[in-house]
Parts: sequence; structure tokens; C-alpha cells
Amino acid sequence: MKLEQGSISTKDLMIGIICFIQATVLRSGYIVGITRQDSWAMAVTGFLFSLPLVFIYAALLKKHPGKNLIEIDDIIFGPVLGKIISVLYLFFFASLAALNARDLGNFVADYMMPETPITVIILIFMIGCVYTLCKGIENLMHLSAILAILSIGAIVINFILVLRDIQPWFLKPLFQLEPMRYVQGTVSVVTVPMGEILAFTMLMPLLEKDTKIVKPMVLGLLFSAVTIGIVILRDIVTLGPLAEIVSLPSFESVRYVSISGILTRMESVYAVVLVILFLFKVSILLYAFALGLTEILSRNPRHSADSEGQSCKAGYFKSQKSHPPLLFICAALIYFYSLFVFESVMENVNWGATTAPFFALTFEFLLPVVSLLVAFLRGNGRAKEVQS
Amino acid sequence: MNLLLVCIAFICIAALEVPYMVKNKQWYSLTVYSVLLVSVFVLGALVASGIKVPSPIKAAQAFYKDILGLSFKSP
Repeated sequence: MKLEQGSISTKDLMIGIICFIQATVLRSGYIVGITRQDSWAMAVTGFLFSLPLVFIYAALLKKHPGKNLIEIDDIIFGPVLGKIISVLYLFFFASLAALNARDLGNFVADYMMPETPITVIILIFMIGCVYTLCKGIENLMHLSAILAILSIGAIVINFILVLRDIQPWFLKPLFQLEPMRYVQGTVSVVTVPMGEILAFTMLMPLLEKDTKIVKPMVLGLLFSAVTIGIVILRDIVTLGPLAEIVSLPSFESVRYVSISGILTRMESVYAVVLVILFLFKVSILLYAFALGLTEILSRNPRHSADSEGQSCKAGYFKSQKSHPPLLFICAALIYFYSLFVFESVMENVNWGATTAPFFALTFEFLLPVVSLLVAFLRGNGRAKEVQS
Repeated sequence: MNLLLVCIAFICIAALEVPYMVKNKQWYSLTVYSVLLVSVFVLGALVASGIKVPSPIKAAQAFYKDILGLSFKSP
């Protein structure tokens, strides 16, 4: 692979995180269903509680600079247990990619192209993701600046255009729900949009040397939290009680936009932005999955190379292209997985609201914490051996 | 028809990567690639044939909900 360290700057990382989370922001209906008119506050609590995740990832990456998540597992846990844990992470990335591809397929099939089979929609979408990655993940990250401007611009413009339709009393009563709902809402925001930035740990070898990871991640999450808050606030003050009932409150609130009967159908802009953001998100997840699978199956993994950035060793999947060698097979796997992941939208919604936060917490919090602890203990053990 | 399309797609995927590996005598890579290709092809053939494939996510849901008891109430 031609990718080199320094292909991606910290600014690209920060903006990439913003774009990554934006795809889920625009589908924030699941949060409104839990905490109703107080959902905007989940953006604040979600951001605060996602900071420990960022610090854990940063600590792991700082201990092993220039390494991605799969390589770190091999170093910390050894070749056998490390691969088992890496397979679990890959299952997580593949499941996320399939679920997001399915979400996109459901959205397009339900709201844009109802007579087109969902299989065709997801197929074309996955071809787009593969094409994007064939052109290089670093180019996608460089493009994220334009995507971020596009999506944030769309959010701001839509907010301004619905201002005359807002009814601030829809925010009342404030914080009158049972505490467990706020816990559920916070955990949902921490795990589903924000914690998924775990996928970016697979891009770390592409960052510039001696890069501080914490700042771009925290800033990315902060900007995303602000946009989550603005979007949910807009949806609540526009739709009121309807926000809990509709599956896409953001889509429905944008439908209210009508300026002199001329500027209407703004939801089409929302739809295009959402498709592009989903393409970005699934591309990152697909890259993480394909690269991780390549690393696991390689006889001599990248981290055993003599010099940094050298990725072509004997036995390693050699490719002169800038994408992981198993990209096409991984894309096909995720395509078929997305077709049978859930039979109906209601199953998907139920999964997202009830079990998905705990499933995601296992990979976003539990495994990285255990990895950090083991790395710390092994580091202390080695220090004592050296002293003695 | 669906099965035929899946076959054509996988022949195209193989045509993109396999010649490079054969040309460079990457036999280990070719073996692993072939195993993966056949596995994903079988999965694709099952899905294209309309056979119900069990979803790993549903298994995970049952594990977390029924065995570990880790699940929020439906809102």
C-alpha cells in the first residue's frame, strides 16, 4: 500500500470526526423517542461522558505511536489473544457498517425512491464506498472539510428558514422525566454517534508523526455535540410532540420550510447531505474492517516491519494500490450482511433503543480499558524487571 | 437470476485481484483470498436464493438481553 505516515493532518482528523458523527445526527429520532423534549440536553451530557472514551483511546495510541488498533492488540495481548480481540473489533466495525448501510437503504427506499428495491440502493451505495476508498482514504479525509461545510451549512440554513415556525413552549416541561430515561439517552448518545469514533484508531498510522490525538478528537466531538444540540432543538421546537412519533424528525422539520411558496421541498437538500455523510461514515468503517482483516490474515503484519511506513514484507498482502487488498471482498460481505442484519425497520429501531448501547459499550469502552490496563501492568512489570 | 448476478459479481472481483497475486507468486495471499472469496460467495448465494441467514446482530441482541440482562426498556 502506498499510504504513508503524514498523509492525514490533525485538522483532517477533527473534521473527519465531525462528518462521521453528522451522519447519525441527522437521524436523531431515536434520542427524541427516549428523552422527548429534553433530548437537546443529551448532547451536553453525551459529550461530557464521551470524554473518558477519548482519553482512553488517546492513552492507548500514545503508548503505541504509529500503530492502529489491531497492531496494538497484538502487542498488548500477544499473537493469539490479540487476534481474538481484534476479530471482536472487526465484528463491531462490520456490524456498524452493515447497520448504517441498511439505515441508508431504508431511508432512500422509504422517502426518496419507494419503488426501487433496497438491494439495488445498498448495492449502488456500496459501490460508491468502494470507489471512494479505491481513490484513497487520505483523499476522503481531505474532502471531509467540504462535507463538513456542506452539512453544517445545511443545518444552519435549515434552522434559519424554520425560525418562523418554531414554538418554544414545546420545550416544556423541562427535566420532568424519570431519571432512567436521561441515563438511557446519555448512554445512547455516548455509544451510538460519539463512541463510534473508535474506527478512527485504524487511521492513526496515517497521521503525522508526534501528533497529539486528544485535541482533534475532543474538538471534533465538541463541534458534533453542538450540532446535535442544535438539530434536536430545532426538531423539538418545530414538531413538538410529533417529534417522538415520526421516524426522522429532522427530515419532517425541514419539510416545514416554505418561503413565499417558492423555496420549498428543502428536505431534498437534507436527503442529499445525509446520503453523502453516510457514504463518508460507511467508507471509514469499511476501511477499518478491510484493513483490520488484512492485518489479521497477514503472515508478517505491518508492525514487524524494519522501518516505519514499510508495508510490503514477505507474506503480507502486497498491493500497489492505496486501498486495503481485501477491500472488494469486505465490501461484498458488508453488502450481504446489511441485507439480512434485520428483517424490518422496527427490529432495527428496537435494537438501537434497547441493546445497541450495551453492545457498543463493550467495544468502545470495556475492551479499550482492559487493553490499557494490561498495557500498563505489563509496562510496570517490565520496569521492575529492568530495575532488578 | 439473482444467483447469476452474484456469480458474475464475484468473477469480476476475482478478476480484479487474483491475476496480480498469481503474477507476483503470492501463494499464501492467494490461498487466503480464495478461502475468503468462496466464503463470502456462499453467503451471497444463500442471500440471493432467498434462504434465511441468521443475523449475528440478533444473536448479540439475544446474548445481551436474555443472558446478560443488559438492555434498556423500549421507550
